[in-house]
Amino acid sequence: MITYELMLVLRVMPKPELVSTLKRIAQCIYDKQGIIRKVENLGTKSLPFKISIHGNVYRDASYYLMEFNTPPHSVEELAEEYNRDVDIIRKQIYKKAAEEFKECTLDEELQPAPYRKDVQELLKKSESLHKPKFDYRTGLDYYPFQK
Amino acid sequence: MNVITNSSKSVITTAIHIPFPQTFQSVRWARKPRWLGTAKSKLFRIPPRPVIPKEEELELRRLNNNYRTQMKSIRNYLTERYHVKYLPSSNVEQIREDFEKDFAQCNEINTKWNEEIKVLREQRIAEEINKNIEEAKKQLNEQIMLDKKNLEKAEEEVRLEKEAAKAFITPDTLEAAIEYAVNNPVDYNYAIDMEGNKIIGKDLNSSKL
Repeated sequence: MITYELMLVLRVMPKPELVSTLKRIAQCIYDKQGIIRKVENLGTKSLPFKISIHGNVYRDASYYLMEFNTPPHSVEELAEEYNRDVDIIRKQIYKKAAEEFKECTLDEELQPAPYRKDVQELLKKSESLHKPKFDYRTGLDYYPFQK
Repeated sequence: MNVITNSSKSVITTAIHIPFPQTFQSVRWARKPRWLGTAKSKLFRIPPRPVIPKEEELELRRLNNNYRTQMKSIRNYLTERYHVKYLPSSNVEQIREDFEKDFAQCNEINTKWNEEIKVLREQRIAEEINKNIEEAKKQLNEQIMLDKKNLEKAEEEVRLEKEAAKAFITPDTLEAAIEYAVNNPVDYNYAIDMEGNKIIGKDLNSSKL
């Protein structure tokens, strides 16, 4: 069972209209024998660029997120249906990635560069790339003559 | 050395004596290259045939006949002396017997080697079979473990799904869920400070959503 994420950019509407639009969108999923797991409001903000669609120009939009499950073959049909919806400025359906557990490495990252493990490894790696230096075998750590 | 010249039609016989050979320059190829072909002016030239005087020819033939006769006699003498066919001890029966004896000996050694190798081979094959059986057992065990692990994983997944199914939004609860979502915007665009406090918003002055 694949969980999909539907990212919606809706035009700014009064609340009753917005609710009915969301219901309509959800109903499409139910019609395809899908189930909805989550509906989320990501706020209303200005778009990064003006968007002309369905004969209008939009500069602000409401961002919504829906998580749902449907048969994979119906995803394309859903996308096609949402394309025709005049209240939707942009939509995109993603496959939801499994949540990854990552250990916090902030302590390590806050250390100065030479103390970090990855930097030390890099330094070690670069050592093997150094060309061999000519050894004068004078027993001195400097070159005694003028160069 | 005999040099026959076409022009003089005479024979010059001289003994070449080179006192200091290193002072002589060897003759080098100083002609035009071979692939350039015949010159136009020389294309239909017919070189004159070498004319050898009658006495000279007779003398050469005599010398050559002598040479051939002597060489033949030497060859015949050496053949008669050293060829296997004319050896006094040459006995076909003996030779065959020797060959058979040698063959029997070689055969015996070969059989011996074959037997030694057979023992080694059987040992190796037995070891290989044992190894394969063990490997197969190991693989089977691994597969069983993997299947078990996969089943556990699947069970866990199903359990989580079942748990999550309680929170699924059905057509009945859709209205409430939408109402809640519209009234409660979420913002994932936050930072965390060293104490683990969330700082919400794109900049410090932005209002809380």
